[in-house]
Amino acid sequence: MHQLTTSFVRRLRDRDESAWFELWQVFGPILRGQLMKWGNGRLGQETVRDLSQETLAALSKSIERFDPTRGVRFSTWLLAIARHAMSDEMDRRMALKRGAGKRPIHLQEDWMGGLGSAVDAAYEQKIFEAKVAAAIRRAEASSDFMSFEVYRMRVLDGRSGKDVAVQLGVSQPTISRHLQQARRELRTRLTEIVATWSFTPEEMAEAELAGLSGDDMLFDEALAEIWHRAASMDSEC
Amino acid sequence: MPKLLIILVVIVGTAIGAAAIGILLRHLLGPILRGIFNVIQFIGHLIIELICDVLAATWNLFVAVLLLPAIIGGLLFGRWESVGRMVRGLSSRFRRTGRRVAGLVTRPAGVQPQFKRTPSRTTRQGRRSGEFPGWRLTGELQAGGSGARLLVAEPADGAPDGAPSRVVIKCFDLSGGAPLGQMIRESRALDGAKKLGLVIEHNHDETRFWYVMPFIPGNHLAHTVTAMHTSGGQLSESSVIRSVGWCRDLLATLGKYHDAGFWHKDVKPENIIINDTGAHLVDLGLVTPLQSAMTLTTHGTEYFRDPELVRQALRGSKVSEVDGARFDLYSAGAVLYYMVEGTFPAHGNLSRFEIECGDAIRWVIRRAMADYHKRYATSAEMLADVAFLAASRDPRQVRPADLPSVSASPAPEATPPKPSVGDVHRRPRLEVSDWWSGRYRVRDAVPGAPPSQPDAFEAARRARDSRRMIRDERRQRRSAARRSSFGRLAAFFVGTFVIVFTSIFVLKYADVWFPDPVPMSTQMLPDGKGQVLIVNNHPRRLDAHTAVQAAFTARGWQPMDDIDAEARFRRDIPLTNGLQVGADEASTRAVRAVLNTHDLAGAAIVQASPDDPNAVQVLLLTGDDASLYDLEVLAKAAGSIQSTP
Repeated sequence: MHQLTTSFVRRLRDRDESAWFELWQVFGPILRGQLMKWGNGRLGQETVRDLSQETLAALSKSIERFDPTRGVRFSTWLLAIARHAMSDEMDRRMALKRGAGKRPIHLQEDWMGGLGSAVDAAYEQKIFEAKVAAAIRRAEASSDFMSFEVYRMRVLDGRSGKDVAVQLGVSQPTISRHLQQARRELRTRLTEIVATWSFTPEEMAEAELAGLSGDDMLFDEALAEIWHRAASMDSEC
Repeated sequence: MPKLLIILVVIVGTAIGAAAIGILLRHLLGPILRGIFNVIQFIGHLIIELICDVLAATWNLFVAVLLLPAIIGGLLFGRWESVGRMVRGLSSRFRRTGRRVAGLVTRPAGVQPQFKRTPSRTTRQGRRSGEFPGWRLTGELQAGGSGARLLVAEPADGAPDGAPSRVVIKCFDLSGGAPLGQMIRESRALDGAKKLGLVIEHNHDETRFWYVMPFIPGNHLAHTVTAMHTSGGQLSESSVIRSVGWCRDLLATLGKYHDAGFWHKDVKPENIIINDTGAHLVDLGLVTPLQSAMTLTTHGTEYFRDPELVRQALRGSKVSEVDGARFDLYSAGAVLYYMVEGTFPAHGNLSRFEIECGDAIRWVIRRAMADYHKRYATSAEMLADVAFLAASRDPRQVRPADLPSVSASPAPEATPPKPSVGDVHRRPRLEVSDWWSGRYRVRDAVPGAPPSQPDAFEAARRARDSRRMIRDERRQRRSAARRSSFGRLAAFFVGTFVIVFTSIFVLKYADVWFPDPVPMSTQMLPDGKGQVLIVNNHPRRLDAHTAVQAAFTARGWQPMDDIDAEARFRRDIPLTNGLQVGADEASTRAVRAVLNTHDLAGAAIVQASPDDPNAVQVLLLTGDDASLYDLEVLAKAAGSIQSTP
């Protein structure tokens, strides 16, 4: 397992608030989307928000018991906790209706290995897209503003190089230079994020399978496609 | 050549004709049809509301009848409170009756008032918290999330000098459940607000703490933006211009905060009031000194709050260790995004743009929401860009390269640059970019300076924007109502039905309601039935008397010349062209009396036609009928009558 992964888990266990905030930023939208999907229209926005926060609270209590060496994805484990929070909420609602209810289910470590088949591929795909979005966000923060704007206009918005040059009042070679800088930064951040959030060999290989390790043209194309999918998914959530 | 000329003329004529028809349809028929549609719709609404009111009144009467025995019983047994409650309930019901129709007729077309009236009935709690020395309460605004009440008031005896005519009192009441922490935070923010002139006075007692601020009428930005995006799709040019103008106002206000050493910390659409004079930032609840030694908190509103602020707060940074002004600028960028897109920026700086607003506006938003160290350093720097956009004719056409922050090299300093003497006197240069459309760019604008327009122009622009805003909102409201309201469609059909039904009814009974006083007869004189009195009432045709006599003689009548009978006839019956025999009961009775007295079968009044003073008509009155004949028919009948000019 990559050193970044283990150090990040250690930061979570040490109650590093910025690590938890990062976790919330990366996985929060996915979690809300999944809860909304399970709720099937029965849960409102506020309830979903509360449930996602309860999920993180439960995660913070049980992070000590998470064992990365068992080969289970962190995202799968997170999903199990979210399901637990969800079922708890449903039980509570039923209890309120009937005046009584079932005892809440206790979180068990068995869940870590028992959800593999239940987790659908779409969820894992969303998790991967969220990682890419986090890498873009981090690259945006660390790269030069002009370079990233050029990359955004040229690649993410799909504008021609000439058009971007006219809009920004610079030459096309300057545009190419900015593109190279931004791309370099993106590759670095993507590697970093994937290494941090990948707990299994399959997760490590996801970026390569998605075409993010190819040449510049393939990289840009794959990144833009993933980014647009991630953005539209979040707007649905 | 002539053939070519004819073809050319035909083509030009056809084009002009088509244009004229187009203009006619667009500017004349369109509004007329819309007006007719609106009138029909209004009639339908009126009828529906009227029916509802009548039903409500009937039901209220029924309830009153049912309650009457209970009220009488209550009076007999001394249950005053119960009786009072029932009577109040009934009177309230009856007071509400008729409001639907009245509301439909008197509903204002413009902005709805934002505040509700304070209930006149005051409980002990309400009375205690409603007493503010020097102020008279007139209404209450919807409370925010701070747990305080927002009361609208007017100055009374003891109000400070120069107090505005309307103020808002923000009141925290511990006994009413207001959180103590929030009270302390707001009282701390008061120092800053007072320095900025945003607070008129403040006070406290054992359980309450309140402060008084000027009242700013208008709607909050979220409401206005929702109305702006009601129609869906792209934003109109005027909406983009207004959005940029509001952002400029917001940044100017933020600049004042920052210059005074404070930051607002809660810039969001709900805290921005829009009215004819522009955008106004309100809510002082989180105003913080930039150099405060307090620990940074995560207060604010998600999506409009910089994630970096949360990170810094989680790290336990002090306020003085960060630049709070930059967090405000992030929020200003998020607010501009909200205005353009109609939704909050879910992805922060990476949020996608679905609505076309031009590259320069996108650039400004992204620059404002960029990473903490890469965004605009000061509000003046951002204001320069936004003011440049606001001064342009169409902000959507501006390139990012034209913005002062991009074109200026090197980048502006952290402090707002003061224009030099040369800058002040140098007028911005207008560079025409398109001679055909008249589009131009402003060059050499002083960064941070207000738009390069005289005040009169600025005022006119604001007035125009305001009119545009009202017009656009009205249009959007109308289109939204047309799309979504089934009731309006029903109202249209009801209105159409009523108009058609009323038209048929009116046409059917028009003859009964508005009878022709004397029907014009085109037939021959009836055969003689006895003596007929000839009364000449034609002012210009004395010869007609003889001719009419001859005509009557020819048909077997016996014309009679009796001066007494004629005198009496003239005395009793007003001989005007509007003689209403048959329709007017009094005239008919008078005619019958004269005829019976003189044993006459009829009376013939020779008179002028209302259309032609030289023409001759004969009104033949019998005991139960009146007929009008013209002279030409008489002439044909007599065979020898000639009209004299």
